[in-house]
Amino acid sequence: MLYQDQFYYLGLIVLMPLIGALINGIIGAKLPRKFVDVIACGSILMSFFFSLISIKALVENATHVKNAEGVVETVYGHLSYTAYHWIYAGDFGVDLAFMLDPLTSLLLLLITGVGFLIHLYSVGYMADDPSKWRYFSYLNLFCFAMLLLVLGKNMLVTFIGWEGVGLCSYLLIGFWYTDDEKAAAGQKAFIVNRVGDFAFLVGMFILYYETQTLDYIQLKEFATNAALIQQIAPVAWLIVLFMFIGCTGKSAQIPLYVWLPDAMAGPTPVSALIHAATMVTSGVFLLSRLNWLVTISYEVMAVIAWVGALTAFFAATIAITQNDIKKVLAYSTVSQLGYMFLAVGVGSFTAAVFHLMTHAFFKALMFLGSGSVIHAMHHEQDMRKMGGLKKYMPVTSKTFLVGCLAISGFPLFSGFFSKDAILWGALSNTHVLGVVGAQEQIGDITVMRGEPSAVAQILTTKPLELISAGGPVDVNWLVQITSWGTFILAVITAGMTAFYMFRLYFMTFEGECRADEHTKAHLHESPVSMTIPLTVLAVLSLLGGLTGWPHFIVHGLHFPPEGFGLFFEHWFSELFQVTNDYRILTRFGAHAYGWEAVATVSGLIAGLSGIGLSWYMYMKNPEIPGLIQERIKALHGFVQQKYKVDEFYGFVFVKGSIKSGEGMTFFDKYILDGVLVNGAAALMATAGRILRHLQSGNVQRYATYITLGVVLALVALMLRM
Amino acid sequence: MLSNLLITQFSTLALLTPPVAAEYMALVPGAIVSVLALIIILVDSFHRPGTRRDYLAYFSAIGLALAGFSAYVLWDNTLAGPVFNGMLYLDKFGLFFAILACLAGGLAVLQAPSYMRLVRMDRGEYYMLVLFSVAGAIFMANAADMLTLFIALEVMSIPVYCLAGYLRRDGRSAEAALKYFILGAFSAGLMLYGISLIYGVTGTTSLEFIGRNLSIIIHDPDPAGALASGNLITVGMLLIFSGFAFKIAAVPFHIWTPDVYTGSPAPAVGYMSTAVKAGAIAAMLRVLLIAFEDPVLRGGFNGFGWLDVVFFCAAASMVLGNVVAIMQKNVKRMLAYSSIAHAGYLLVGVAASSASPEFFLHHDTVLFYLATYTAGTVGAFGVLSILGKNGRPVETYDDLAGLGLKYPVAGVLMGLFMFSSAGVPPFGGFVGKLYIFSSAVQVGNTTGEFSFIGLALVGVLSSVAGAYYYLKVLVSMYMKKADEKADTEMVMTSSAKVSLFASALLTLALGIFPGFAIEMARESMVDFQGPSATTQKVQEQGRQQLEEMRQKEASSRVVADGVPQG
Repeated sequence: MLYQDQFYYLGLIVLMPLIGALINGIIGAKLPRKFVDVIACGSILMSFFFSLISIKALVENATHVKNAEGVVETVYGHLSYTAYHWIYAGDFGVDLAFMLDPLTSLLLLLITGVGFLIHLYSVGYMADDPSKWRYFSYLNLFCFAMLLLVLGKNMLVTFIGWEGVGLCSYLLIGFWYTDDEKAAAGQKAFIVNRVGDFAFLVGMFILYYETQTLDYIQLKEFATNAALIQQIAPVAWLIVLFMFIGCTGKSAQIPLYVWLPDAMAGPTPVSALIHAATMVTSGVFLLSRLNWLVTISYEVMAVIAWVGALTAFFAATIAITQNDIKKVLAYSTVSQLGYMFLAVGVGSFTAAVFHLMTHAFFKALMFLGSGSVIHAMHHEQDMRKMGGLKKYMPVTSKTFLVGCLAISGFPLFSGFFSKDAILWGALSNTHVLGVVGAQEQIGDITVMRGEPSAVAQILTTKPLELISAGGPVDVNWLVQITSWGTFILAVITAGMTAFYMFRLYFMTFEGECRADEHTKAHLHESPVSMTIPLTVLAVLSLLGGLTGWPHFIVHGLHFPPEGFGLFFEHWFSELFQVTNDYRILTRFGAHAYGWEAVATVSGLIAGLSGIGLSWYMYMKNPEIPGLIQERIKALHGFVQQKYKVDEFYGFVFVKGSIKSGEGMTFFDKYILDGVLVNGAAALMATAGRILRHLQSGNVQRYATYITLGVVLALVALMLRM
Repeated sequence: MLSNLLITQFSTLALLTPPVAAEYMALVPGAIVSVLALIIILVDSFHRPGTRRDYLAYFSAIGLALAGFSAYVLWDNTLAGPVFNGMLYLDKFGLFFAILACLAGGLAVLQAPSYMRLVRMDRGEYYMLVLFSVAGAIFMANAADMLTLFIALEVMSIPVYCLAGYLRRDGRSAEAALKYFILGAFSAGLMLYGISLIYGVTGTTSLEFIGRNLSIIIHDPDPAGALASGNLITVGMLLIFSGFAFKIAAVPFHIWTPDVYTGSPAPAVGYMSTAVKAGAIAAMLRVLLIAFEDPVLRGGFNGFGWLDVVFFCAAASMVLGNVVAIMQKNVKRMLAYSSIAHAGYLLVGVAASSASPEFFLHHDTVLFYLATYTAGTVGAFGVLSILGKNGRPVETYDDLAGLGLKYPVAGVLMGLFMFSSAGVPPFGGFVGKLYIFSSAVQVGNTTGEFSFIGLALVGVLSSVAGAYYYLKVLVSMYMKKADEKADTEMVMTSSAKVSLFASALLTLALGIFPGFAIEMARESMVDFQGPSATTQKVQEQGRQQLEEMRQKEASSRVVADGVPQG
């Protein structure tokens, strides 16, 4: 029997990058440069191996259970490791404990696997930087914090990781801190993130107050237990809302997305690792981890869905107008994260995590590709000065093309499958509380909503049994609007995504080279340590989606239902069981293959037409973009300047804070410091001066005091008699 | 008085029975330290003049570590009931304090070589005196009888008087020694008088028998008899308490502290403010919780008793210590007053946990606080013992001006110890304070008696003043301009390095991983021998809880908790 509760490999996974960071951080400056590379990459590779071992153990440890319908389900459970008892104060106790379950497994592979590739890439990219050791130390520290975040068995450990990745992100964005603009970008990221973190903390406090625990395993007992859910249902919306605000900070959603585009000031591999593949997706991870909590309140889910869809849409519009190659990718990241939150908001957590994975592959690929280009162009990032790089950089351009096809949703590329899953989720999913047809079965839901017990009863009853036959259901107006609205927004965004990605591709790699002669002369393909990661990521972007085919294809082509084609769904079925079995159902019925095909085809058409339009505008008739730009100058300018959101925030929050700070200074100086602090100090000083006289130095008097003390106590006690 | 007679008979019987082999284990830690002290005298008399005595520091520290380790080895081999004919206990409570005393002593001897270089007085007595005092503290914590207790108290105290006068050429040191000795003798006299009164009433010196006899006497159906002996008991009890309060420097028995701390050598002050305090607290808890355990004597919810005196002393110590410390210009004197305040915090823990037998296990807060206090205080005095100005050790805030930047190691370490003492997370002092005050609040909440919460509030508020004077040290070290003309030096011997880094590490460890020490403290209270049947039930519950906790840890290794739902 495995020691499921003391599976110490989990500790090793976390420890390795920390050791790497410490070695490089403390003595890295004195080590040979090669050695720094080896330690940084080696530590993360070790983590990767330990992750593989752990996941193997998790799989081997799984049990196979036959459910009511006779289908064999795999129950993975979890492995955990308690490093030490960290805080014990009264009834409050927190361990530094780690947990490995299917969700964490995926994130682990992304962080250590993709992380390793990016470390490897950095060896080439940062080869000439004098403080490479500092860079690698931060990068390893980031991996450490990120691993804490995903491996945490309780929310406090996750929070430490959450703060840790914020810190490392700040350090790495401002890595070239001598440049004021870059240092400011780091600060902006940190401060905006802090706003979100505050909301996260408040959410966590409320959750603890209601449940008396922060342990994920114990929390999950609240998911389907009618008695327990009654406690938490009335405030679940508040907790999820605060958590979500926290996520909008870390995962760059409206209204806190503004830091991510500026974060491109950091070295490009950092953008690939932190601002594409791992850290920014931690919001999606957190909500997926708490999926049973999120799905308690379907109104907040609608909020999440709308925020996600709108973020995806608006970020895509900005991306179309940008000319900086990294800014386009940054807005594209914001947009794709919007997709993930849309999936979370409609209860399609599998799709959210699926897209998280494929996005990590293709976006890391594209960031690294852009880094390769920037490396070759001597840190030129403006696409208007590129073009025709295909013939100079064959590997980079080919792998980049794979990335573009993947994100555009070209059939059989990974993005096609994951985006399709999200579109289908947006179109079809509904929450059990949003079903009109269910009212006959369990009474008027809207009336009962005020009663926690009634809600609890609904939330812990399987909807399929509730709404007989599994046919189509009627849904209320909120679900209708959310469903169609977000679906249409998502389809339009899919088209725009394809358009701006291929705009980027055509402007950079095709056509004539617009670079100056000096740059042109030095154009070259990047070193092997940079092209290997590109190739591996390209393969992953190509194949990564084959683990989650749409159901209608699986059904139509007679794939085995338990086979690889639906592997992703099976892998997460246990984790999202509460959501899938109890809360979320398909409003078109159980086997609505027709509707699913509609979703797939609309996504496909949008993507292909985006590519086509881009080709027409930037390859066939390159003068068209200029003409359009001329025609709608005002709008274009407004969008290009990111809807002036930065200016608005600057005016309202930054200026406002400074002004209110000045007011506070007055209060602090005269009221707090003047009256309270100095007053208290003066009082204490006077008391001290008086009491000091007792200390005369006369030993006889001292003995008298002792005697007096005894006598006084004696008198006091004698009086009771 | 049939029962009295019986008890006397049993005592006589016990005297005739020779101790069994296992009982000798109770002596081991104390014996190691005593033998070590004797060896030191021998070695020192063969010392080659003109060479350094640093090796004595290492030798003593290793011996103390050995003694501490022996206590750790004995941890799971404790005995129920007193041993050696009712003279000593061998329980985890005593062993906890033995480890603590060895720790404080070990850290203090390691600091000595630096200090001796600063004051140019390299003498072997220092080590021998510290070791004898540690032996006294260990026996005091293990005492099961008033006689052992008193002898141990003197064994612990007399070397400390000598240590206070160690700087023979310094008038203030001689003054400190004399004052400490006179007042110490005075309070020991009072205490001995109290012991004799209690003996007179109960006819025994054994703590457990005193406890049993006192409850019989107090609950005497004849009211006249109860009253007559009641007064006598009260006087005796208070006199004994005053002796302990003197040793732990609680108001109003604190008056010697500032003068003595200022005049004594810094590393010795580090020792006497921690190990002596710990030994006295241990013996006080033994006496109060075994001999004077009867609810009537205890007071609190049952009228007036020692609990009320402890309560008053706690409040007064915290307020007076913190307020007067603000005004000091001498850092050692400031630390003396802060040590009075710390005595107050400790007594808060004692008062809250003694409110009723059900809170008996809360005494672990006191034990844990002592551990954190020891690490921080010995460390702080250690920093003072390595820094010198114009050929003498630093003492005042002005002496420290600018030294933090000049000697970064000393500055950082001092910062750490000051932050810990002020109760700033994540250092040990914070967890200790939090643990004590939250226990007081919990007791107040459970019993509905506001005064305990009030006591915690007084503690928290007055410790705010603590933040001021502790941080003032850092302000001097970092923000004041160094005196250009002064000739400052830092004597960082390797042994001082060991001591300072060990204290720093311990301070951090107790703040970040407090679980281990808290568990040990809790086990100590569970294993505390000799209280009445009511308290033993509480201990039994505590034992079960501890066991459950461990079983839960052990069993969850085998059982997978990922059971599918639905």
